[in-house]
Amino acid sequence: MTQRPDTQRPDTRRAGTPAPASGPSPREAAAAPLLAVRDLRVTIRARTGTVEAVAGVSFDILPGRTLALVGESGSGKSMTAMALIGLVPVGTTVETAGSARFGGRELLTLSEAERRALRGRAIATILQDPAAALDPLMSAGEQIAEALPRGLGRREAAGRVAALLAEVGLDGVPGIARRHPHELSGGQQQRVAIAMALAGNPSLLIADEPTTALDVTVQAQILDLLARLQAARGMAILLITHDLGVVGAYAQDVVVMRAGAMVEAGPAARVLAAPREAHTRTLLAARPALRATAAPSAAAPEILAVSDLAVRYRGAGLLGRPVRALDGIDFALEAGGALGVVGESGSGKSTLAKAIVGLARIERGSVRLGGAVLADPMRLGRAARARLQYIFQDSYGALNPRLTVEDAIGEPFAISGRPRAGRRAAVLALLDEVGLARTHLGRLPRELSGGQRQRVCIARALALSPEVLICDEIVSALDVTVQAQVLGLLRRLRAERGLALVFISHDLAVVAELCTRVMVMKDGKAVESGAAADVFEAPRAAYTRDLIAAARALDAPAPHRDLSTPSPAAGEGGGVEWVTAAGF
Amino acid sequence: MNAHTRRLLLGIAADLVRSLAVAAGIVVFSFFVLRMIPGDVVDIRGIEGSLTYSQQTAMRAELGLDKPWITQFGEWLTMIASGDLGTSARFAKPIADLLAAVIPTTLTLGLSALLIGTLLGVLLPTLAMLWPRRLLVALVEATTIWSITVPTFSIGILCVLVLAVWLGLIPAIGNLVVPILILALDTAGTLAKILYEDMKDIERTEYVRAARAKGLSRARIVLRHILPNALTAAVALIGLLLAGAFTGAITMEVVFGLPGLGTLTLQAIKGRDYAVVQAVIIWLGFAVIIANLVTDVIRKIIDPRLRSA
Repeated sequence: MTQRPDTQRPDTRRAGTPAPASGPSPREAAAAPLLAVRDLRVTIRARTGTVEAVAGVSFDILPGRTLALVGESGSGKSMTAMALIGLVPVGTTVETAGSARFGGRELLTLSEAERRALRGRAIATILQDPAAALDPLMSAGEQIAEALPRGLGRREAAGRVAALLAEVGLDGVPGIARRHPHELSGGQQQRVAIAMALAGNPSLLIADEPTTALDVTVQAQILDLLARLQAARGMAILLITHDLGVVGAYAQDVVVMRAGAMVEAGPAARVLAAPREAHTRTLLAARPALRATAAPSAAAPEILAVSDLAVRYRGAGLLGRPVRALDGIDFALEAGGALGVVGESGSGKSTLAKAIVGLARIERGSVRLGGAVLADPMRLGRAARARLQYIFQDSYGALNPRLTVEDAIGEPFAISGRPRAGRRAAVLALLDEVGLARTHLGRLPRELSGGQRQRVCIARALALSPEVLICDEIVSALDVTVQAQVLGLLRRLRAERGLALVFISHDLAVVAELCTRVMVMKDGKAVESGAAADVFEAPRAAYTRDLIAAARALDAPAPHRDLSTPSPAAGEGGGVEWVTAAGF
Repeated sequence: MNAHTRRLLLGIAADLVRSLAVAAGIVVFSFFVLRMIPGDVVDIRGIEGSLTYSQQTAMRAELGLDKPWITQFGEWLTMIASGDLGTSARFAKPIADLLAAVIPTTLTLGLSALLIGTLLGVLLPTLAMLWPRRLLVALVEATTIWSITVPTFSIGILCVLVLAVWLGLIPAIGNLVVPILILALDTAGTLAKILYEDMKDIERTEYVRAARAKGLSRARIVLRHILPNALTAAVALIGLLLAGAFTGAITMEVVFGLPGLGTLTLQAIKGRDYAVVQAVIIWLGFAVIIANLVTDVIRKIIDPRLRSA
């Protein structure tokens, strides 16, 4: 890595600029920041040329406080943090410029060996996906022990590991230290990862989307745990997230990024309550509120119904016990309606969808499509299949990487034996319907963005004019603004085509915005179901209330804890020096 | 005994039952397939001109080859069940003696080559990961290309020509060291390639990034995280090679004039020496079962996820 002196582009540096209106006074800002980043620039050097991933980002983190870096995918928020500690992906060459002083030391000019000495000790990191971030072959205890300072005796190390496991609330799990990652739940895995990060007693914790891969109730638990640990240890947190809802509840300061640049920065309370920049407002507005908006129409005829549906998977291995994945599910969906199926991972949501289309063997119960019982969904004829289409969460995996958009959308026509003539016109009409342009025709999946790929999948599902569309977590991998667009598209399709949706999601807010009916699932059973308004406004089951409370807690637009507006006497509590990048 | 060990043993027992069933199937299948090859041992000896027609008939009756296949199978099965492998119709010797004469050579050749090859094949890519400088990476690539492009029999013949015929450094017949080295290099190349590619993929995983975030040294990351994870796949390949080591390397045995199992099998098939071929197949069955068992146990010890099945 080459370094440019931090005198580069001095015009963008306005150190000492008073903090924005609602922030603390400049005098308090004199409290020494733990990490002071000034005009950080990160350039990725690739074979095809260079890309400026981070273009002039500046912020301060004070000891014991949380700063959130917010932005959509590709906004450079992760790269900002990872470049500071030399954790960029293997094979990526980056050049950094600007300055980043951590406790008085310039981070950007450190050698790799010096950075390594900081990593895991002074600066620890938690990664997004705990299932991937733990070595599958090593027990939880070993992985935590590895992060402890060198030279501890065996007994001493075991004691510290136990203490760390207790600190992250895992002391109640029997034999936790000897368990391997695959024997832990997602929340437990993330707690182990947090214990690993705490092992070196860091003063700064970088949390890169620490809850994105987790269920909503677990998300709240993990974020609360981080807040508690922060208060107990006085460590600072750099929270990287795409979720402004999380920011309100857990961060005191926020930096909003877009395309590598800083859009807006300030105390979280101010930025969320009175955003100054259009992009921040867009991000805030795109986040659906947890409020049921649509009512089921009583007049429409039933299109899809299942009764007493049950699915059993055979257990793993020769002697494995079978697993009941779905038990006694009933629902009826009217034409043009939308059924939201919510639940946490493992609740059987996807199994339900798969059973309906015949991707999972039905043990008991029946599926009715348009009033007629489907004898065996696994052996549906082509005509019946066309009426029932499925869209998957992973749009990249669902598209053949070698087929162009035109071929992908045209494939259903080819399968159903529609003549080649006029196929292009039909594809173009579909592209138009899902909001893609003619120029996308010849593109390959890897040349499209996530939102565009999901639109291609929707267009392909629409090709044979289905009556029911099964959407399995189709917006959960998308950025909020793109998510809002895709939800808008689905709403329009329902209105224009009278399409019925079975919409599977772990995100209650998204379901509330789109669906007329809701079914809440847990352990393969329906805990509660009914009209969306009833379920969300007056939930009957305790589990539904837990889910809604967890979702509301994460979605709070205003801070829960009054940490961002300290009393003047508290002094050091609120001092952040806001440095605004040029161009805003 | 804790839950881990119990599941480990249960899994191994299930594997063993399964592979025994497969081996039995192969033995039965090969018994009949062998007899579908035109001509029997008596025909072959007749063609060679050493037997008259009446001698051939008498010999067939003596060997029981004139009976229906199913009767022959019953008799053979009774014999095998009593622990007797039978007698070679061609060499007129007990098959157990024939095997006992060739198996030591085969095992010495195969296992030494596998051992040296595995050591080299694991060592080279590990060193190349630890010190990713040009020279070590180039060495991994050179070994790989060598093992893919240079057939063992051609380099074998070249070695015999240069080392034995021209320089007289080794005997032309019966030398073991040179074929061991040739086979070892072949194994090392295949293994190094797979292991190195795996290790480079694993280097990009999140758990290696997490290990870097912990501030671990390069050596620790490679030896404790990357290598074990890469080995889970490589062990399966080593298992295949182990089965191969038991069966003998025909080309090396022929080129270096080694009296091994490969040579014996070749002669037995050519001479329609049914009993010998069947005995060799039983030996192969056991060899493959043992190799699979060893591989599975090692993989289950390395990878806790495989234990829970």
